[in-house]
Amino acid sequence: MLANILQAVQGSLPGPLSLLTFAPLLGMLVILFLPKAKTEAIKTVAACATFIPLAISIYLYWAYDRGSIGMTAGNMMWTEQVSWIKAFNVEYFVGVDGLSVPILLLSTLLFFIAVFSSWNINKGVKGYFALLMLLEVGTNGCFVALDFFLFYVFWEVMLLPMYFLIGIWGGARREYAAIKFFLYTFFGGVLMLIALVAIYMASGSGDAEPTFNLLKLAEMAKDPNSPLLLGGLDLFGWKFLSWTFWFLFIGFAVKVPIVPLHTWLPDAHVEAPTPISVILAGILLKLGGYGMLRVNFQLGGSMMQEETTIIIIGGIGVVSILYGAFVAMAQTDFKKLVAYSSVSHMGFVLLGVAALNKEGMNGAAVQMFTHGLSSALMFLVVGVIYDRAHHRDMNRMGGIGLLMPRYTGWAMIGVFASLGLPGLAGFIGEILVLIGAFNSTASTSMQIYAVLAACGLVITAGYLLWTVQRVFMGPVTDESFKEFPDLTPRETFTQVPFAILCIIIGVLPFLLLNVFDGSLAHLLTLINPAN
Amino acid sequence: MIALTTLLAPFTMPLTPIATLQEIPGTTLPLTWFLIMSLVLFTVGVLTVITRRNTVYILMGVELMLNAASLNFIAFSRYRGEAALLDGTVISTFIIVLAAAEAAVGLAIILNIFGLFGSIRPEDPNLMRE
Amino acid sequence: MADYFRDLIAIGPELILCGTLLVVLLVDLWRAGRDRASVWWIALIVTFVSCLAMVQIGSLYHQAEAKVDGMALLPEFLALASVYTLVTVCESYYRGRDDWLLGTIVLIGTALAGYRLWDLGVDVFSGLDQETAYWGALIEGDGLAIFLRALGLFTLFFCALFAIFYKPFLKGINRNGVMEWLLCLIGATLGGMFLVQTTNLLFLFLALEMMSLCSYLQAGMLKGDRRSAEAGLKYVLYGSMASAFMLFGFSLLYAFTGELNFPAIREILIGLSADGAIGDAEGLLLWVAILGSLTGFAYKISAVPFHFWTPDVYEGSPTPTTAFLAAGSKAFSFGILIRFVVLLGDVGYGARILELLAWVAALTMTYGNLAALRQSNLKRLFAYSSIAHAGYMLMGIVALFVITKDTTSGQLTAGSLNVDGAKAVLFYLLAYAIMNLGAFGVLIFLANRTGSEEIADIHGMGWKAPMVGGTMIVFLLSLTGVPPTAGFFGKYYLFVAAIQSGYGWLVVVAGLNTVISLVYYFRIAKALFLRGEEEAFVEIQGGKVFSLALLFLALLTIYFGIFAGGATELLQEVGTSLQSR
Repeated sequence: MLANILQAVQGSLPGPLSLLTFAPLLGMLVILFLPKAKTEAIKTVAACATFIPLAISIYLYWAYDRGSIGMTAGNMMWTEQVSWIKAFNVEYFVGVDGLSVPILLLSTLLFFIAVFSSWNINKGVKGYFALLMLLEVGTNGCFVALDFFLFYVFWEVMLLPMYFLIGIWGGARREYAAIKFFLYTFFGGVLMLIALVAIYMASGSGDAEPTFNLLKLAEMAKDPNSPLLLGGLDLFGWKFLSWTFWFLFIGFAVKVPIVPLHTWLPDAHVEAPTPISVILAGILLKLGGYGMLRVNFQLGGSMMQEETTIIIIGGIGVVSILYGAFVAMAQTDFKKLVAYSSVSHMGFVLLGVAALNKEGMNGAAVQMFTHGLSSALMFLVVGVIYDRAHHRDMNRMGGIGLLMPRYTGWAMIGVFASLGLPGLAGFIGEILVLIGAFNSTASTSMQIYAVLAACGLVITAGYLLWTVQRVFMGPVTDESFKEFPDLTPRETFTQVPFAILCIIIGVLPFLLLNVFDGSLAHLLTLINPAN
Repeated sequence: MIALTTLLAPFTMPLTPIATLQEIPGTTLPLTWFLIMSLVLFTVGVLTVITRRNTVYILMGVELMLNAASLNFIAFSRYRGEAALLDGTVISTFIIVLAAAEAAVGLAIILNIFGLFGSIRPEDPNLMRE
Repeated sequence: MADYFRDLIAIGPELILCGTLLVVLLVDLWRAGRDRASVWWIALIVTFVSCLAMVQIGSLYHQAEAKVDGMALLPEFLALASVYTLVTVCESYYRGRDDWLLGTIVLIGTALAGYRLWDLGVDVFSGLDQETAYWGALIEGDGLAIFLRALGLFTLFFCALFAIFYKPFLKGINRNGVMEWLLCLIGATLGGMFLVQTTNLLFLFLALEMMSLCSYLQAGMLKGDRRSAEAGLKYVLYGSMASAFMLFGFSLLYAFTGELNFPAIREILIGLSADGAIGDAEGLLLWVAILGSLTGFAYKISAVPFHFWTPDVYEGSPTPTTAFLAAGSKAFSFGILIRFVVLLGDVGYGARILELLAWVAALTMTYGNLAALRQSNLKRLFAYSSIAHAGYMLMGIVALFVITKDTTSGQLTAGSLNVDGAKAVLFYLLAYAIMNLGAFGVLIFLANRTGSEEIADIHGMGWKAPMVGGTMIVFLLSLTGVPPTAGFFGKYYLFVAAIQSGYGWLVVVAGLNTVISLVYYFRIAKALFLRGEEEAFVEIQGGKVFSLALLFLALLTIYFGIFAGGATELLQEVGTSLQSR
């Protein structure tokens, strides 16, 4: 009897993934109904609303079945499937596999920390936290969505809060940065939408029902006779398969970002307030890479088997690595340097994917995760010094190492993690990507790319060490710096989780790899059945 | 004259395919004449609208255009025989009433314009430019 | 005789609106304070009796399908006759200033009409009413008509609500307050509601003119205001020209076929082309005829190259008028355009016209968006944006038929009807009406307080009126087409329809245009929230009802952005019913 009741209750409860996605939405609504003056209450609600997803994602990580291969129907865990709009087969279909679980963990952790990092926001507190909650809904939604349409909706939901978070709470050139971010991402989104519509229409040719189900679409894309490969609408004489693939690619690449489309990133990062920079670098960039793995490469598997595609994608990756590193070297603004280093680091993700082998894939996924940690930590580090000095010019800094030893200690972990020092997180991703690229059989150019990427690592080490020297070492150039207090407990609390995770992942990478591995291996077979 | 008929060819041609068209005893004027008349009216109307720099004239030009259409309706219903005889009359009556209503509204607005701007040249009120 | 009742019930909502019009006049007259009791009583009785008769007969016939005899047309004639008598009487006796009462009457009348329409709609959509031709096939009460009439009533409701709060109407710039404007609004809506039902060329012209004439007056309604006068002048001059072109096109269409009803015209044209009777000369004539007819529609929906009136008229008109032009007038015109194209798109030279329309669509959206980029006046900006949206919607019209090109002869032929095109346009119209009404509502709210419609003057207003500012963001998102809003689904459906019909290039053009539109829409968001927050934080109070109405529209925008399924299924039926033609 009791069991029956429990079962009934359980049946009516939302699944863990829905709860994880929509708990912040609930938080947002509560915040909207709180009076504006009660800032402490608003912040507390925000902290609770972000803690629930974090707790759930920790549970997911713990309970995830490592033996599961994922990426196909039946291998996704905690799935929920409800028809959303019957008229064109849109479903509310969520589920996670080995690829999304760790990234969800990263995402929810970042948002939880971001709330605390935002504690001293005093302008429009209510609006700020409401938008932050909405942003988390979009982000988490993207990582759990298994329906293309649903994915797209969540993808676009992120734009608006981001626009306002940069535009209202940002720095001097915030208006420009905000609309630039919005425009670039929306441009990518529109291309994605067009491809999405075309793919949906194509999947319905013959007597098959058209579908948005990503898993079904991926299965279809594997079949050489499927309409996704043969049919569909040509655009300006451009083959269906090819244009949809590249439209999707551009849509995701804007977010990664790849080099010709990256110019929004330095502006957005620099102008955004610290917690938003943290989220932007830590998780929003990962969406680009995640989207490519989850959507783009699965649906365009046969495109990935063409050498030209590999040459282009790998090439873009290498160009991003080198260009990002060189430009970062030329920066005097601390935050801009970190921003460009993101471009450089995300290049590894593309290179790893282009390798089309197990090492490369795992490397790309790990790189996404670890870059999330190290860049978040770096932005927090920059934020701390900016809060005190009110500028970020590295030429006017120096000697902080002696003045603020605790701060410097945590900062060093961030710097070295992002530099790729063995024993810290950044190393694992980069070395796996390089191994993957060297061993890649996808294209003969991959080995050259690997060499170039390795050069990029040297440059990265160069500018980061130079940064350390300019900011933390040497004599104290600015007397006012001596007044600065060391980290406050709240600041320490925001930095420590990332620093510790950087060390843990660096020492025990299997904690990530054993989750990623199965799903990525299966993804590889979808992209390239020859593997 | 030959040039004119060539010009008007499209307007005379539709008579051939429509088999139900019949001559009505007692009529002497060919349909083409009405069509030429209506075309002339319409053209004069359009030219008035385009060239005149006086809003009242423009309204008059519009009336001419409406009348051209009205003439078309009447001519064709007449030539279509007894069954359609009433069509044209009814339609043109409606058009006349409507034209009057339109003129009334137009003149009211022009009067208001005259009161506010002291001119009824259409280019004079131009407060709104980007 | 029973047929009359059937026909009357079919236009029940319109009749109720006529009644509302009357009541407004009556109340107005009554409050005039002059001793005109006799006129008032007569008019009141006439109105009351005719309304009662209509409702009674309606429900009797509706419930029992009883064959009631009587002078069925009497109430309608009485109603209309008394309206026009009363307009003149009322004009000279007006004194009142309190416009709340009048506004409320209009709102109640609209709600009643909506209720009648609901009944009709239930019959049509549940498949009870298979025979939907009324008044000797003058009008067609099918799903398309029901949907657009409902949309028209929705627009009417909110425009009337906005007008009650619109300051220039209240301040007495207008001698007669809001009363005359409300009458014109109802008249225009009535015209539009008939417009979307008709399948007859003459009736179409009459209905269109009824809508137009009332709109001209609405545009020039602020008598002391020079900009309003200018808007009225431009609208009436260009508008009457466009309708003259349209009428001439109709006369040629009549000349060619000898019929006025669309279905009959269609049959004759199909017969003629089957006989091979449409040669080059006839083809040219037909082309001119259809092109001329389309001029009128193109003018109303402000498609390039008939858009030139839009910016001036939108900017100069009182804002509630602008809202009606953007949401109501445009929806009605698109409705009849759908009917026109569905019936004539695949006969004769329809394919050629559709190909032309595809270019018109591309040009319209691109022109509208590019021109909107450099506007500083909010209403003018929305004027250009409405041109752009007309372009998007034309995409759905174009997608009604799949055009195939014979590679050898270069001959274009229109294939089967793709009702998804109509479905997309209709959904977009719904979304567009909601979000545009909302946006104009916010403009009124802000202009009432700042006295200006320039972007520069609304800086920081979002902080002063957070709720209204927030709703504006929702409307802007929807206009841009960002999920989860109604505008996104509208755009999505249009893309689907266009891709189905093979217009990939048009979809890409539309997509890039959407990105352009983001720039100017978010200039408004920027002005509202990204500027002036330093000095602000002084909350604007007041306008509770107004704010709630805006909030309702915003929630509706989001509702249709998440639960679009219901509306989609309804429109699916509309589309299917169009298929039978």
